[in-house]
Amino acid sequence: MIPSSGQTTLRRRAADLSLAAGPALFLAVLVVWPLVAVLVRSLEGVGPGRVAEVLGRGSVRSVVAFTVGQAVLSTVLTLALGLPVARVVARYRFPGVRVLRALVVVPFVLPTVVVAAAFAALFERYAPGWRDTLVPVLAAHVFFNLAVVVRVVGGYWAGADRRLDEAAQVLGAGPWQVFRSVTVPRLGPVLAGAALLVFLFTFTSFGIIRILGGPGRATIETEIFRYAVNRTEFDVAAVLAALQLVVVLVLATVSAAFQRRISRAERGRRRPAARPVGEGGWPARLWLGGALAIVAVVIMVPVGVLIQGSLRVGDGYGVDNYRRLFTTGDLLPVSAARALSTSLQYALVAAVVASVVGVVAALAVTSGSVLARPLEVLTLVPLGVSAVTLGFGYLVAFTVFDLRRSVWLVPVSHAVIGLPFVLAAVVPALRSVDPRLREAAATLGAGGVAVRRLVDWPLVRGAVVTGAGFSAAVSLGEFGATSFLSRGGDSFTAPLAVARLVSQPGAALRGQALALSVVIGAVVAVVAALIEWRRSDRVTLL
Amino acid sequence: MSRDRRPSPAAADAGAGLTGAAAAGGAGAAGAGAAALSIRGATVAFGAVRAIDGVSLEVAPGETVAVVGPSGSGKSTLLRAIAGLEPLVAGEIRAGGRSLAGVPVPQRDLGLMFQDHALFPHLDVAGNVAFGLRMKRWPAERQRARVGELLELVGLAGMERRAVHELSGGEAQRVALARALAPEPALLMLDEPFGSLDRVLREQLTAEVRRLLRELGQTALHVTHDQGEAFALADRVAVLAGGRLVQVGEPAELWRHPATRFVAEFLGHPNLWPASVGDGGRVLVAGVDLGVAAGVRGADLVAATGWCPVTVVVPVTALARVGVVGPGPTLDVEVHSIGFNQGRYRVTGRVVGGGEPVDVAWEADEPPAVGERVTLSIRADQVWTVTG
Repeated sequence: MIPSSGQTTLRRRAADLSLAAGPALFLAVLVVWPLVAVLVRSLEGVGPGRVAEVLGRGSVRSVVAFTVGQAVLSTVLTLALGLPVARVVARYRFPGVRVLRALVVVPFVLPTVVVAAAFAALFERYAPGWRDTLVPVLAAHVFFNLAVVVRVVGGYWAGADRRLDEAAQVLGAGPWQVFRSVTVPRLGPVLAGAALLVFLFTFTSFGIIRILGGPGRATIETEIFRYAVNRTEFDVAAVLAALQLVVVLVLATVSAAFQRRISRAERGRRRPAARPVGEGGWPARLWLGGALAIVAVVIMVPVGVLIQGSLRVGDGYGVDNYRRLFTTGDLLPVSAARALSTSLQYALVAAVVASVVGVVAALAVTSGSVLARPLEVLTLVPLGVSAVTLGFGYLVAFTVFDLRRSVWLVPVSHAVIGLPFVLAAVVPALRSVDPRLREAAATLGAGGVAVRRLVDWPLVRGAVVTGAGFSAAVSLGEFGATSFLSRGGDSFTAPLAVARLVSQPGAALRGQALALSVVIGAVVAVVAALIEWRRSDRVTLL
Repeated sequence: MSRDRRPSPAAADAGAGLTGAAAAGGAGAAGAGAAALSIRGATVAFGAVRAIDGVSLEVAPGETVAVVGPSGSGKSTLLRAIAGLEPLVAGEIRAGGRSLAGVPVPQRDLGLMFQDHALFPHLDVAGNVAFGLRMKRWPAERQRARVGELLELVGLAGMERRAVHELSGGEAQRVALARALAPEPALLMLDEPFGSLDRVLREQLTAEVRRLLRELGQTALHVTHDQGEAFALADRVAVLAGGRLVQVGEPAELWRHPATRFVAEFLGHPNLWPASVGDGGRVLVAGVDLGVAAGVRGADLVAATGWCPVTVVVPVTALARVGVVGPGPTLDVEVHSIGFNQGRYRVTGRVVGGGEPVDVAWEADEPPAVGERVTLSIRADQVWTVTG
């Protein structure tokens, strides 16, 4: 809050409220209305009897069972492989630790279709026997979510005050007792928080399942799409979307509670220096070797196969697949290059809109006004709600002015999905600005606007750029909502092109899909790596 | 450099009768009209809690006043209220005769030096010092000159381009001081300015700041929990307890004549003994008649029939081995422990018969043995009594 004398408090309060009004309206129209429309649609006309009938179907039940089952499996696998990496990244110092950290985090922002294409190529070429099992789906989920575990748990671990361990040792605790009585109680909530996030992401997995799942493997998310678009049974899609919405909101609420607990418990800790691997002796070397092996197999092999596949022409190698991106075939409404250009434009628009709305929302959230907390919750909703549900909601809600046909709908939906990332970056940055700096500026003669411009802005500028970068990356890879909202042609994006190319038989089309995936992946990876490079360990995802 | 700079009127209010809380309101040397800062009945509330409660204080132009008190006594709140960072629920604050009610923080013409510096991390040393000048839209050339002048003054000449995170604690505090002084504020406020520094550096900086404030004729209000720092820096010291001003006075006056037991304890007097007063002002401690003590307060006490319970404050300097101070009342003390500090032995023990704790500077090359009984003489003219 900007300091104020008593007389200006009222005016300031009014200003805070009006600050919240813009983002609140944005989210009300673009998030709340579509979701309410879906809920209303699922109940209205069809009645509770129909809802029960849909949920009672054997096919729907097996979809729910599969959705939960694969999410649990994915979560367990991701934790098992992610924890060693998290420990190494957090606890040891060695040449290339930043490269390793960036390598782990970049997959998280890679477009789902790019990852799906990579794993399709990997299993088809090197393990065709597993191609039609659940293994590719699980492998892709681990590839994505390793970053969540490393980031959340590793970020905590890096900051965990080692003096507590040392205090326990001095009080006579052995290594196992330290682990059991000091490490686990502190790590427990963090682990649970990370597991919940991974579960949430894999529970609503769409692109991976669509492309890698094969026939007979459907999650609630893909079924919403199938019923709404392929079978045009809107009421069934709406019931499924409502079911998913309820589950996701419950999980997101619990997850947010964990996040708050973690950040409260860890506020103001000192960050100890990580230890060089050399000092740790052979156990440290073993940990490091294991972590490197996990990263190599889980992350680098699929990326390598993707790049290799994109360069394969017949029995040799060449850049033909890349050259063909510029030609227009029968399969795609426009050339792949054109789709990519559309995606880049959308990413720019989405990043600008998300940044502007996000910064205003962040100011309102940190202002301490009565609307701050509700607005904060509202801005997090797009993170929890699946993109497919949101896209479906737009279809249901925006019939009114025929907004569905608007060319702005796709980039705006991307901005909505990117908004939580901007807030996740900017709100903590604003909160961490020492309020005494603003007071110091005020006593030196700076008014409200000057304080914002000369103190806050320079200190949060980096976070705004980070948030904008993330929302651009999210837009470049967005597949779920775009599947619903794209009208083809002018609004045909690069991920849609990859999905269409990769699902067709034929080496030429497959090669083209891989080439386009490499290009999208490269753009996103560069953006993400740049962001990652200048940041250090944080407990939160961003 | 247009501001009126008067020489310090330190010690101008050394007059008698400045002993009680009653003097808190109008203790300014130069009369109410000319006060650089005048606080009357200032009250700040956080919910039902009154952080400061009816505080009145005046600061004369060029004077340095220190506000001391334990943590939670409302010292920082008082500063923040003057700066406009906390609203008053009652009372008034005037600066240079002008009421500050409704004046926004940026227009109050104050310098505030924060504990832990609060330097802008994104600006270098020059950027920090020039911040207030930028706000006043000084031309760039004059800003540069003024920054150079200030850095010279605080002993950091040539450090303009240094990044803030490269500074040591002492350097950062000097930059913070330069930043607060640069726009030539009518009042400089220092909030625990040396709290984060080690003792040697703290004492060195305290002396430097004192010299600087005198040289510039800068009016200053200094807040600290450290009475030693307050005594070293200030012309007058105000003691705050529980949000209320208990006593205001010059350091020596405060030390000799604390208004309450709390003030005596807070200033570090070790020898506070239960005693009786009566019979025309005679003081009895552990059966020893100290005679008519100089500090017996209040005609009602003296006139009272019989004896009244009081607390006597016996400064460390008022006790000595028999023979060092000379004739006067004496006291037998059993020695409990011996310390050594600043080249002298410090002997603690208990009065024989009464049990009151005694702490005395031992003016001899060899200390007494623990358990030994020693006889101390008391300079009765230095003894002071307080109620409670």
